[in-house]
Amino acid sequence: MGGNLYANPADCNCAPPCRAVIGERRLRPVSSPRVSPELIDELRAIVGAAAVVADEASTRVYECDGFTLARSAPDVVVLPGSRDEMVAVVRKVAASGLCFVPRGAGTGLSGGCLPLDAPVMIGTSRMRAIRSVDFENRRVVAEAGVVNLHVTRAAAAHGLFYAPDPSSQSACTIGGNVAENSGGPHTLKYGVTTNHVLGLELVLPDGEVVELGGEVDDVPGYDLRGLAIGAEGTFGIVTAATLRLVRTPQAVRTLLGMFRDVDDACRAVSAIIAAGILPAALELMDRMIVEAVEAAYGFGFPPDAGAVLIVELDGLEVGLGEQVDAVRAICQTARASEVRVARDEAERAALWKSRKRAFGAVGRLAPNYCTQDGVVPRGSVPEILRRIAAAAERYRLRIANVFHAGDGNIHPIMLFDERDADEVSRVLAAGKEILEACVELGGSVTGEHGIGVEKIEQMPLLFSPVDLRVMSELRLVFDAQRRCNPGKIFPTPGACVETVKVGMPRRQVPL
Amino acid sequence: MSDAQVSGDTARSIGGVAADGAPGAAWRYAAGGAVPAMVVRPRTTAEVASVIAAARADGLAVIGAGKGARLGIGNRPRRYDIAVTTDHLDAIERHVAEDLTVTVQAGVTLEQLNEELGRSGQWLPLDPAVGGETTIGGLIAADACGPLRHSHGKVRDFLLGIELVNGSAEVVRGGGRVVKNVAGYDVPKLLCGSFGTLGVITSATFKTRPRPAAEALYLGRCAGVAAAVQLALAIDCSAGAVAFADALSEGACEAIGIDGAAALVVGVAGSQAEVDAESERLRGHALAPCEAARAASIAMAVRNSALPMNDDALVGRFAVLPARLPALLARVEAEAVGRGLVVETAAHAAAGVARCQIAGDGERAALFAEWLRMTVRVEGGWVVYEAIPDGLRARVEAWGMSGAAVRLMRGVKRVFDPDGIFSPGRFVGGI
Repeated sequence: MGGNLYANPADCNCAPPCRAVIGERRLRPVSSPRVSPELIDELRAIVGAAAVVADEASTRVYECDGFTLARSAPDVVVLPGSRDEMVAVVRKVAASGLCFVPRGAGTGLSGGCLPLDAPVMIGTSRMRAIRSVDFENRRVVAEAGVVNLHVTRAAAAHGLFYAPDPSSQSACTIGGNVAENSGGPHTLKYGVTTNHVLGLELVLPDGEVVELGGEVDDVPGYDLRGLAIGAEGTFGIVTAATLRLVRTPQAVRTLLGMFRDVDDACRAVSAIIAAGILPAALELMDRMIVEAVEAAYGFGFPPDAGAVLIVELDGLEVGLGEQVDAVRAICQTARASEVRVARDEAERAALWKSRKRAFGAVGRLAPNYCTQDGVVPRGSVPEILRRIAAAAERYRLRIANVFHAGDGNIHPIMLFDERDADEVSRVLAAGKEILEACVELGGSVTGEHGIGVEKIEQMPLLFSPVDLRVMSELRLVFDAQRRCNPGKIFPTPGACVETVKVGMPRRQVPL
Repeated sequence: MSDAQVSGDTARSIGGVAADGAPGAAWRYAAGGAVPAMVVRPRTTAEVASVIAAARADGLAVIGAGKGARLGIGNRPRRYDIAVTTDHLDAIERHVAEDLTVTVQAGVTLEQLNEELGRSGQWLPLDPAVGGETTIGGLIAADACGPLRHSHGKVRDFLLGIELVNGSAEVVRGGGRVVKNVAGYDVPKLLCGSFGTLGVITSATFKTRPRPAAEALYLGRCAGVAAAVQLALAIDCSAGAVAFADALSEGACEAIGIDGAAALVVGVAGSQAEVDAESERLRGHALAPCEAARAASIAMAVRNSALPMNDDALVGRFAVLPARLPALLARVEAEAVGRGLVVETAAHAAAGVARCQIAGDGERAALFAEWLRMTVRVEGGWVVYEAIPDGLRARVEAWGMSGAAVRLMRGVKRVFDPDGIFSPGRFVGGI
């Protein structure tokens, strides 16, 4: 199986040798075909010169997404402004026989839009139109480049919102959300992207446009919409999506439980679920995160809190008081040192800002960090946290935790300095161990970040060779030549992938 | 009435699994008007695989079957030799109450599952009609849902993981057992509404939900089914604690013992305080609470309004944007009357879903079915004829699906079933 991780690029045995390096995972064969100047001219003729990026200094901006451990710049970046331009670009690239990689805002966290064997990158950032808004039927048709938060903004005045809200929602795009089946803190009650997308307009790798799903639910045939969501851009490029809007809840209460340690906080999480309460969000931050967030944003967390639990309840005003009391009592039984209820919308907004920017706050603690993403059954959260702590100790790393406790979706944040090659390899090893523990506990290696290039190695832990073959064949139904986003998700024999090169400039993970 | 070439040996057993020789056993598993030559009841997933391997080797066509409740949906299969039932795959494998997940074998019925989940105050909030028992495999394969889809969604919103035996007799798993998981393609989605064309489903993992503490039912009498849907839209069922809002035309009302031309039945669920608050709001829209003694039977009747009223009924189901439904239903009624046909309608009003039961002369019904399909298509929806009387099978196609996506669907079919042994011809585009 491929996706071998090396501490040293010299260990790569591929022939021809790979070009780009994760830490030391080699990515793109040196011999992979390059984009010709003629093709670049033809692409310019389609989308305009300003929408084609071909000089090396500028393409470097596109060399990675939020998973900064792997980098490989494309030869050219094309930014079509409409579906028709997209079709023309894809056809032109198809005629050249080259591979391409779709890209939204580049906020992905698993290297999903890393141009591996793909010299052409096709970005959707200029496709920003909201094509139609139908408040009566609670539908929005948004182009792929529309920023997630802008959908909710367009709907808010009508008492509606778009439910999936990843932490990067002020930057990430609908197209990227569809590719990754993105989640967010409120998925516990509201579900993830696939639960809110009714239809897709997909440009296949040969330029044909297909409609999957539609504006209504009951489309006969296989649910290709459902299959394409979360396919990480390996089926083609989604140019637009029909989204379902949700009624803004009449009332919201946000509680903060301060605990001595994460075990107590986890006990509260289990008890809340057992009581039949389904919060909109149930988020946990450990001591290191609380300290970092406090230092960055000064929200007012007590300095000695070992864990902070955010519980958001929403629904009809009339039913909430009862639920708030129940959650408060549960937290107190679980030995919370303090339970606060956000006084008003401003305090609630400040709290969520702290939560969603927790990753940014961590940036103050170390030059680099890598956010892992794994899932365990809710009841196993305390166990996985113990294993994370043990891994941190064994590999001499600092690992902070801020995560969707209600979903069992952990996000250990591993701090490091990429100039320290030894530390990078310890980060990789610890990450691997944590993911293996997730699988061992009955969970998954990714809840919302995707496999990308980062977790190819772990796929065989979850799936049998038959399962993997079936999935690879499904991809061929859409992309018979594997020209769209090659080298992702599936292990392929003989291909190495690598980690960051020592001495690379520091990059921040986008929010 | 299968054209199967089942040899004497095969008729007694296949793949080491004995066939059910009981007279009439096969009729229960008739699919789209075709009856299998034999029925086998494997005890394990491995036995399912050995049956499939043997069927494949002999070139026999197979349909995985639960209790047979929804096998009638779809076109007549080109060939149908063996019904592989999930009767013995009847274990609730693992309910992790604190994780709100359950893994269950395909032959367990929805009622059994919900009884088990109920012990922990949970349920799988799907409520398809209960004309026959609904097994978990059938629930998924037929994408069966009911009134609660308004507030909870469909099978695909709950299905986390799947295990099936494909056409190459391999055990294939997709998804996982935890509530959030994006590793690999979302294979479970493909099985929802696949009508036995991709394999025999053997096991599935779902997320569960807490059961609401309180429920109530409200009734409103209306001048017609279009008006009833309009009333549902006026209530704004997306706000508050409305669990479902179904509109019923005269015939469907009769079955519940409501007189009048049409009714709107609204279910409310949540905490007691929420249900009480909704009461006030719904009374403001002239809906009356349903006395507790009748509520359960009315709720069940609403759920079962999806069933064909008799063997001669042609039943078309479709979804359109909810706001378009009242005008569309008014047109459908007028058109039917003009053509000398009787149409009874039951609609999941707030979800924009309607089922029309068409009764009358066969030729007229067939022409009307065509008109309805065209009319709904123009409105952005698709009519699926869930029940087609045998006399109309040659005239009415079940799915009416076309377009570029069908080519991709054929590709998906080939991945799972390269030799086309599962339900050939029953599905979309001749799949």
